Amino acid sequence: MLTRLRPPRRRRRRVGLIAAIVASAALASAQFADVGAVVDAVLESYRVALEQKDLDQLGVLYVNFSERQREALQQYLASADGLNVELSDVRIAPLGDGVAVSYTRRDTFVDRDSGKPQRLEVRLTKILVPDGTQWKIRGGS
Amino acid sequence: MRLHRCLRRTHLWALVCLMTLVGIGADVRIGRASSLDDLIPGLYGGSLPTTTNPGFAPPEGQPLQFGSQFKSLSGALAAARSQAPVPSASGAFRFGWDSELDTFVRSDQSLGSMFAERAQTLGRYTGTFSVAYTRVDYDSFEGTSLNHLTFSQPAVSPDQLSGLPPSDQAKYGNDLLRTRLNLGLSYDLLFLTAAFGVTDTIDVGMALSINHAHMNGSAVTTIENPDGTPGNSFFALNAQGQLDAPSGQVCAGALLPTCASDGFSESVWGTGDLFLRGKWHFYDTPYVDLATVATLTLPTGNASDFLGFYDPTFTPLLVASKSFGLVAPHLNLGYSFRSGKDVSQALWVVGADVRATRWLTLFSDFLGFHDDKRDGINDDVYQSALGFKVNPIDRFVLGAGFQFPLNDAGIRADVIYTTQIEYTF
Repeated sequence: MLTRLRPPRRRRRRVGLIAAIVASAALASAQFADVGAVVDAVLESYRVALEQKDLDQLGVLYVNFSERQREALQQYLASADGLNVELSDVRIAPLGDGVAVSYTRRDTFVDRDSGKPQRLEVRLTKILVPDGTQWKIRGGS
Repeated sequence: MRLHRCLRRTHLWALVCLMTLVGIGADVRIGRASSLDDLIPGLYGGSLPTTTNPGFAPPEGQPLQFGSQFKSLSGALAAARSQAPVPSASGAFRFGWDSELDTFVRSDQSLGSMFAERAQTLGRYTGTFSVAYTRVDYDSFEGTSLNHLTFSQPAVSPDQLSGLPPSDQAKYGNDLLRTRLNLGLSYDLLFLTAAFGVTDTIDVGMALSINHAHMNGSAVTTIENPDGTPGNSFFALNAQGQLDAPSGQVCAGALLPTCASDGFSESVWGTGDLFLRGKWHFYDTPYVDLATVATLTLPTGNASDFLGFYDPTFTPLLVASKSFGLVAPHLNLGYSFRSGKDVSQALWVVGADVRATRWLTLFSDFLGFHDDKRDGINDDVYQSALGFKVNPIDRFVLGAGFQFPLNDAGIRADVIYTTQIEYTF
């Protein structure tokens, strides 16, 4: 009843505003979908590099990859025979110039020293940022 | 891998079957037909006939009162008998997430204590089997050496005295029956223990002991005045000139005997109780890891022979522990719910283990047991313990522990020795 009383010009302006908001949201959504695809790609590269025990590839995925971190990863990967890494329940949220990615990491392998099967699970949150043409892991917990 | 798991399960079931079969085995007694808890109350048949008249044997002897002090002996022995060794899992290790290094980090864990639980569980599909031997040779009872136990009671009963003239009442009223008991009691406990990690945080296990208990005693009872001089009454003899009691004899060379002696020596072999154990590691913090352990014992051991409890018992335990580098402190708090005959106990263990090297763990503990029944006997028992565990090869762990008394309550051994060999599969 109230809209019928509004002048047509004002109605057009409002429709335009709504259309602009919807378009903006759609654009953001599309951009976020792109980011989602990028994050998926980074996580997949990370997962594969872990399974293949490819430290160089893992290093490429970090903004900073210290020698200490490399040694620790090397020791871990050396102790994990038949390592299978599963990343699940991925949640992405914008954070500054990057995104915060939360996921559950599940490693299954056989401990080399003891021969005992292991199944480790941890919930992690990582900050991914654009770095040149790539997205990389900058930090997190 | 599947075959390996299958073999593991086969091992486990074989052990369970073996232990169950052993668990229903009977005990074997070497010596007299009495059960061990009857031996002390049964000295002289439980009573000694005393008289003031050489020609008169009283219809009933003096009931010997010292036997009652040993009625709760089975409960008092529980502290040592119920200490089923704790599984350690050889080459124990854990993976923890290191946020700084952004990876899992493997760290070796200590082998733990022999007498205290820690929150850490074995891990999914990991099992252990261990054989432990404990030797307990008791030395004292409420602070008195078992070799020199002395008990006194009136030699002439009030009924007898009341029938005597006043002058005789004064003469015999102070007479005492003084029994000097040289007692020996020892245990050899062989524990068979199996444990299995059902999940990463839940273990189940069972333990069964095969026990050998030996008890010997020699009692010399004299009729004395309070100052130790010979008394005026004497032991009644039967028509054959022997002590008028179901067992025992008068000391040689006395026409009017004021000295009698009796003794026993008996050994029993048999299964102890069956221990069923569950453990849940339910919470971790940066400062403490928490677990709960529940142990149910089924009375497969003959309680009358001190081989087990009379009734089922249930012991819930709260376990707190944490590794801080090489040192891992631990605390156990629990309560053993037992029947009245077995005596319920609150119990605690506090201590720490230290990973001296990758293959050697040293541990030290303090243990406390507090009887629910506050009867002045065995009320509060405090022990200290020292020991070590070594992981010399592959999945074997060898350990030895020594317990020492910190107070005099109850029946106690100067040292309790325990050795253990464990295999992790």
